[in-house]
Amino acid sequence: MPNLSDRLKALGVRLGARDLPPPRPKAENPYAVTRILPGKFLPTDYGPVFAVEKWFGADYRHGHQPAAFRPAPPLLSTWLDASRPACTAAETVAYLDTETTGLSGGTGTYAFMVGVAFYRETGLQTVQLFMTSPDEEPALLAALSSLLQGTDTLVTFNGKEFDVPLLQTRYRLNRMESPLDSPVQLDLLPLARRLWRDRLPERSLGYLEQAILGATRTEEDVPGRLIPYLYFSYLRSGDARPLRGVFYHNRMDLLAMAGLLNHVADLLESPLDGRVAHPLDRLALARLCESAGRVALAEQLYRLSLEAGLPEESYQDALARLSALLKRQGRLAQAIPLWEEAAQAGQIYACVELAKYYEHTARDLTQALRWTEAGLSLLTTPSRRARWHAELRHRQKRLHRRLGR
Amino acid sequence: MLMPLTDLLNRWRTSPNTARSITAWQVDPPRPGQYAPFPPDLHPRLVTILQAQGISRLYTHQAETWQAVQAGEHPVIVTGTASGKTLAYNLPVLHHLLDRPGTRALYLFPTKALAQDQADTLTGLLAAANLPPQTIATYDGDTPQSRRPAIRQNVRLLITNPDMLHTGILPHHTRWADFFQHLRFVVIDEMHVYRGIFGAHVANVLRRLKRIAAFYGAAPQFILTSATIANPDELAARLVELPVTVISRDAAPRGRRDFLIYNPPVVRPELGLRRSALSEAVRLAGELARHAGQTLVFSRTRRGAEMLVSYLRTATADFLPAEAIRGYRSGYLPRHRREIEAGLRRGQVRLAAATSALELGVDIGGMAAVVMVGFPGTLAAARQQAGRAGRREGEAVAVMVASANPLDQFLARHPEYFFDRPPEQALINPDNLLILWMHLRCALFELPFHRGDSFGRLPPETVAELLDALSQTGEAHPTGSRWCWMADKYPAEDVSLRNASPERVVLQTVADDQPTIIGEVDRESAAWMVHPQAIYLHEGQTYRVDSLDLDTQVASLQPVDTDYFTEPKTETTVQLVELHRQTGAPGGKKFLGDVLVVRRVVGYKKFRWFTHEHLGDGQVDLPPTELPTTGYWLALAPELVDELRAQGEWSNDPIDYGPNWPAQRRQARARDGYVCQMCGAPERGQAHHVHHKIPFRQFSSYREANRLSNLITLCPTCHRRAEQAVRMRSGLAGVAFVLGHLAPLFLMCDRGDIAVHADAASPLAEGRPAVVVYDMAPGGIGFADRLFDLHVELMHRSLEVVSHCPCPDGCPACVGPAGEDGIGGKRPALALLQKLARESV
Repeated sequence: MPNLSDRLKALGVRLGARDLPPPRPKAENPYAVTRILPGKFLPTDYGPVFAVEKWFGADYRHGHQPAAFRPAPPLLSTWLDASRPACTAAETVAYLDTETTGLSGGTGTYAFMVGVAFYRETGLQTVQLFMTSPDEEPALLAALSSLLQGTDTLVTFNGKEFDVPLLQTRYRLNRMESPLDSPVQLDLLPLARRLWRDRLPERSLGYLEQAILGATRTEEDVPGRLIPYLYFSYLRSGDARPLRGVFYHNRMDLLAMAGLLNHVADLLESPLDGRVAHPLDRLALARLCESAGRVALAEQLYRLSLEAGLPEESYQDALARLSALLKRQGRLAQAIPLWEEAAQAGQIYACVELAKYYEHTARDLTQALRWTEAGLSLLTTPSRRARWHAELRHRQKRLHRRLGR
Repeated sequence: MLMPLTDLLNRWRTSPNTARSITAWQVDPPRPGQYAPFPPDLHPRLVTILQAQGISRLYTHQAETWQAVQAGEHPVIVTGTASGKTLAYNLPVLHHLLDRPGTRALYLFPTKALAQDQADTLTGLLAAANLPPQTIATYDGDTPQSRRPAIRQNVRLLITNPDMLHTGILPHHTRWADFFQHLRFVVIDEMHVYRGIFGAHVANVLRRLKRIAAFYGAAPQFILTSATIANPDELAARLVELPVTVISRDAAPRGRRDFLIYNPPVVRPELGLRRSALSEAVRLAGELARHAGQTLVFSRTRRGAEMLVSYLRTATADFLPAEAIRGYRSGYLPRHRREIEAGLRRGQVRLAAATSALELGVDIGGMAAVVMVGFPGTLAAARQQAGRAGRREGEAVAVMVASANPLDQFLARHPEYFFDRPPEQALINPDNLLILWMHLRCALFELPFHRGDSFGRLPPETVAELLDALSQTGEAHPTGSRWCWMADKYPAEDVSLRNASPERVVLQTVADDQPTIIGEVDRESAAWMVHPQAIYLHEGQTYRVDSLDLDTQVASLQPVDTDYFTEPKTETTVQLVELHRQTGAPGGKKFLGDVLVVRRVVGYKKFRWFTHEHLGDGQVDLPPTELPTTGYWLALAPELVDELRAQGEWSNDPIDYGPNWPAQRRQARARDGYVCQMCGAPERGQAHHVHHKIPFRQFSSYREANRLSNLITLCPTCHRRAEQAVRMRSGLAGVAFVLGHLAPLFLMCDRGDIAVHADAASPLAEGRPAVVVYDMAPGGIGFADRLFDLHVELMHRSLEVVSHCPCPDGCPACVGPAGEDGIGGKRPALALLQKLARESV
């Protein structure tokens, strides 16, 4: 009988060391994590866990943005729709970012490193917890719990979707209480999407850090996709040298979040002043204000962005949103010039709105029919036909009937 | 007009034409029900609900299930179709849901369709029991992402399928922590489906489920149901790895049911050809639909079901509108299927042609009649299909029309085998190494393994050995006390429980200028079902395939009206990967080992509808598919080949080559310059032979066969060699044919679980002739191993079948029809089998 490995191989299972480093040396390890990284072991009820701490003074800037604490504007909390205001006191804010063994989620993905950052009197402190073996996971989680005591706002980048559920899974698997249920979640990714969807080609933290904050990283940084493999390799070889880059990457992510939050706070605090440099940002802010229920501010921002010179597609978007906002408030007279402008530009919805206005409000059936037919003449593509044809035809028939034609 | 079924049956019984072909007629007399009162401790709200539905007592098997559950046992309910199995398990589960608000239950159904069916029924029951609507939910691939979190939060009765449990639930068990912690019942409906490869997968998924439940401190009770199989206790025990209680006394009342075996009459005795089972089934089903009522016709293949729809529509055009006749098979879109099921329940569909897709408990009500075109492959399946005929009151009939294959003919001659023999055993091997390996990866992803942990019934040492091997791949990380999953992968994603590739090819056609998807086929089947130029049938409409793109997984079809259908031509080679065992056997040597089967669709044949006249061939260029598996093969000893040759057993009776033969023969010799085209020898006083390159009997017309392009001039020596090669091939092919049909009976497996291949110059046997039987499951599931041990018995039974068959020169009932696999395969096959079935080596 062939042995197990042979039988598995025969079935097409690929066994054996493919690019795998040799196993960890048993004796003294010159590249142990304690020799490579300036850290110490924190004691917990579940044993010690390795931690690297760093301080960034009150004058530290990430790119051109200071990383020091500033209270978040009320608009941010309104938009977050949280049960209580976020980022009110420096000592209750924590930033969190994990490095994991994969992106697929599920119970088999570990957070082998959890970085947190806190505001201290002298600036920002980062603490990076790291497990030198998966057996240290309970200790890492216990240390994280005690670090997060007193945290009321947890700032992450995509944490709602990824880091937080992943850590909650880890706590549950270790039958431990999760400290992540109570703080308000301030996830910067959805906010970034809101603000820069139209202006920037990507919304990854690394990209925003460069494009918005003007910060660059040193060559110590490692690409995120390599991180799981660097950890797997470390687990086998015990050689912690390649991990320096992972610690650096994680730390920079934490600082980038702090800088980004301050930048967003600037925008939200005084959206009308000159600091909002880009008209597209102003349009994004208008949409954000509108969805947060700050309608008057939104209207002002829409008008400012329309005046500032937007690209055509965004200009039409702003027109459509502003006119819809005015219509909801019953300010039809003010909406009409906007619709006329949009209709000139071939927007079918505007023709429909005008037709409705003339049919039901102004009771000018001839004008109504004119705009209906203008709309029909714009149905040049199948998708437009699918969306509008039936509605416009119906209206046209009714108007013909009412006009006695 | 409808006449009582009895009258129609009497007419068949007395009509000489029909009666002669009925080889068996068994009557299951009507049976009264046996009842038991509601259990005294049954929740009063359930009593009220049942009474409102007009149920005032239980069948005794339902009461027995109740008692088993209350005693903490794991019952397996094995009673007939429509015997109230569903109520039997719903009762205890609902009782506990009502009794203890914490209770959670998991229902596993093999298909989404079945789950949907049951979800509807259960939703009604729960509403009647005043349980909030979010108590029950279906969670499968169709559940919108947005609804999933709420389901995970609220559900108490979760309906899903093994695939979803495997990829969507277990790997995310922490999201279901509350559910697993309170998991009290796991209901596994239609357990018999979980056999073979699928069963081995599901058994491992259940190991993972139990492991996770244990992590949360739960040890759920299992309730299983099954169609009639020989070993429900064994299958259930292997699936759940717990002692089970079998409840098999069916106490539901039943009307009289007649069961007939019909063997179509022989129409061409010289070829052993019987009238086609398909056309006879169409005739019988037409009469049944006309006189007796709703009739269901089962076909073994998807294509057969489609052909039936079109034949049945023609045959019943005078009294049924086309829309009263529907097809039903996998590949139809779900909503389409729901509509047909509803049509059957409401009686608008009078005649349906289905595949085994309808076998599973999909509720369509009782039919007046069921006709099976051919033996469905296993006795269990035959009984389940027949079970569709039958109503609480009134008569029903099931007819099995025997097809030409050897097993069908065997059963037509030995009906006692059909009626008296216990049905098949459902075999599973959860420890199939490849399957086990895949699920151990999934299990490790779900929870780390500690040293000393077992996995199901696998002992810790074996688990440790596998995990150490997994550590070699880098996917597991050993830490001293345990193993952890350490890879950037989601292993469940790579494992399909159905084993067929999870990839599907969509079938697209253009209707009203809009691309429309009419259905789909799995990727493995795509090459032979929808290769370019193939004629594809979908609910009676014929389509021609314009193109098949395996990269984008789209086949483009065009509705056409053709007078022909197509059959794919495939080429198979079986290569040796690693030899495991070899032993001398009479006439040669038998082997067991790992093989690689490479199959390629190279072309297709066109046949005229109804007459099946061969109209021509076409070529197809498609990439091959590869199957690594285990095989058992027999290689013929060179001495045996010599011996047979010496005895002249490879020779053959003379054939009448048709009136134009002398002229064609002369022309061929003249064209070839009276020189042997093989060795170059000129004619010396005596005319050379003229050989048919493609054997004469493969043609339906002598003109076709005798075309000059099919003829070649050979000297007598070379001609004998050529003929011998052909006969060797046909003898081997004959043996392979009979083996392929008989082996499933010994293995008690489905016919599609194994495949047979004959090769006159096999790479498995250093170029000698060999016949190989291989598992269709990648890695093998143990069938080849069993056959290796059963070899001598298998040869004896094969010899018996062939020597007892009355046909002169091979027919579909023994070695395959003459002319299909070379010239007259019976004589050489028989000679071969006589040598192979000798007692001593």
